[in-house]
Amino acid sequence: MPCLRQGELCNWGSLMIPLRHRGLFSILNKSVWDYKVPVNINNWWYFGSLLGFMLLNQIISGFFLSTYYVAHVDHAFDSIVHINRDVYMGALVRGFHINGASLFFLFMYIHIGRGIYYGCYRQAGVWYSGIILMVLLMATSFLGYVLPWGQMSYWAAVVITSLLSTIPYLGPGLVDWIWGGYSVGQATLTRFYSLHFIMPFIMVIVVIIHVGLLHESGSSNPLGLYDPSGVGMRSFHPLYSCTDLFFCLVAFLYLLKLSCFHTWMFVPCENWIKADPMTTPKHITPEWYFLWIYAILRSAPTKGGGVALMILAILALALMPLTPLTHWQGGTQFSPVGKMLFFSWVTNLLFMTWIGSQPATWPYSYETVKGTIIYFGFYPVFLMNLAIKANKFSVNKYNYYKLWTITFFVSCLVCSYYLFDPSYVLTFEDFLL
Amino acid sequence: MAANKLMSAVAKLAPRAVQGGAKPTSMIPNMKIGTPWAGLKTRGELVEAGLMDESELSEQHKNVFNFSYFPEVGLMWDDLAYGRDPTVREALRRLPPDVHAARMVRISRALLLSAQRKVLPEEEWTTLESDIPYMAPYIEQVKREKEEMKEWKSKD
Repeated sequence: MPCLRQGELCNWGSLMIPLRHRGLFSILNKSVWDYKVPVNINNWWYFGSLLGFMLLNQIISGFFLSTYYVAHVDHAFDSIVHINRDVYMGALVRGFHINGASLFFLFMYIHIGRGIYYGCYRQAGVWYSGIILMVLLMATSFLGYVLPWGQMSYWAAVVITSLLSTIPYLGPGLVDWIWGGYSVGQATLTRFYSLHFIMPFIMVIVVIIHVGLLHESGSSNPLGLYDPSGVGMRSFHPLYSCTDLFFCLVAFLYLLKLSCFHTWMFVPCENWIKADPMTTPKHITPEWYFLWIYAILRSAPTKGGGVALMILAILALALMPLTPLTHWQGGTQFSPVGKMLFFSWVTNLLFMTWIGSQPATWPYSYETVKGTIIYFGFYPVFLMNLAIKANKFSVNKYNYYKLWTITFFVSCLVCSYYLFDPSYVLTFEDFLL
Repeated sequence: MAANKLMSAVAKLAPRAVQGGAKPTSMIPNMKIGTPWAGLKTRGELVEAGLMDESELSEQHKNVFNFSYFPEVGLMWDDLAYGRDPTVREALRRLPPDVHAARMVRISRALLLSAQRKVLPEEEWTTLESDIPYMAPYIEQVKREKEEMKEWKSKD
């Protein structure tokens, strides 16, 4: 620190240093203001900040809803009706919350798809914290779906919590522990409300870790090139901060449109009926953002198999950074075959979303099995394609794709023994139209 | 076998690192971007010289190369080296200054083209024949040293 001269009260020169370069603000400056971002990022990179905006929206709208919501089995449904009808702007705030959850998931799926397409899973810490955020979001949205205590809310809670009974030895006791009794009831509602309130704040902490890890390694770019010279980099502010704000505004306007004109688009009709433990709805289906994983759950004929496949469906994403593929970027952007595989996989996921909304009868059950096989088959085929392409032009050959081939076939053998019922054999009639 | 021939040919130009940290000398005194460097040949020249198998320039390889996006922005295959990998990072560090500078210029040009959503004119696209595997000798050198170090440590 420069010494003061005689008679000088303070170091006037230090006042010329911008506030953002002083003390703790310099940490924030390095992460936000002066953070270097590749110049060639495209619109798919803005969904990260949009996700942060949606989290903020959910926290604020959820807070306002929580001031009127009553977590009691006799009053929960009525409190929701009270919010909709009597509370000033209550229906709008509830619309923001419901439609905000749908947009949150849409943006998250796009964000993950961007990560797979451009090879962002190579940043392992960022990827794993993102997977944790995805699981937390799924849990939070499930808990929140139960709170209105409509028919679909109640039975979704029964179905999903019952899945835990498939855990060997501990399962039945765990289900009763979560229920707080012998069935879904008051205790369940209260603890779900508490968990639903606290989990977004846990998500905020994980988001800070996620962004911190990202800023340590630097943002990726559509070419996937690692440029240590910093020639193709720009400061986050003002270019990307203003663009992020613009996209947040667009998302907010779309959310406003949904909340004003299509408020109840994502609310199933059964959820306008108060929960009745004695009456089971004809078709129990989750929200649209869970339909693909619901289809995977229903594809196995055994309950345990379905739960295992569901967990594997998320673990498959988590295993992507572990593949020691290649020392070359070789992402999907440089592989025509990879692009075909990726978009086929996305189409399959859209198809699985539709299949999940259909009843569990033929031909939907048969198509669900095909969709599940395509979903799981994508990962090894996609990664093997990248490895083969990388080896095609490298003078230094790497044989890592063999690791994936062996892993794939071994896991198929294991899964076929434990997950599928040998008596479940497709007959000739199944193929008839 | 072709890879071995290539390695022996370029090994003379990429001296083994000795203790004391002697840096490899530059082997390209007057290098121009996109021109074959002295001592480092393009794939086409390597095939002609018999150092690389002819199947490396097959139609299938050419189609896969040409339909990948990176030749259109003037990148070579070795420009896509993943700098986060320790082996590749060390090999990048050992690149001669002019080779490294040319690589940086190509990468910067590609990033700017990507930012503008443009590609180079077709006559400037990299082809499989004009691609130069300039990283090969340095990666081999680093791998050899790692194996030697591993063998040395296993004797302790």
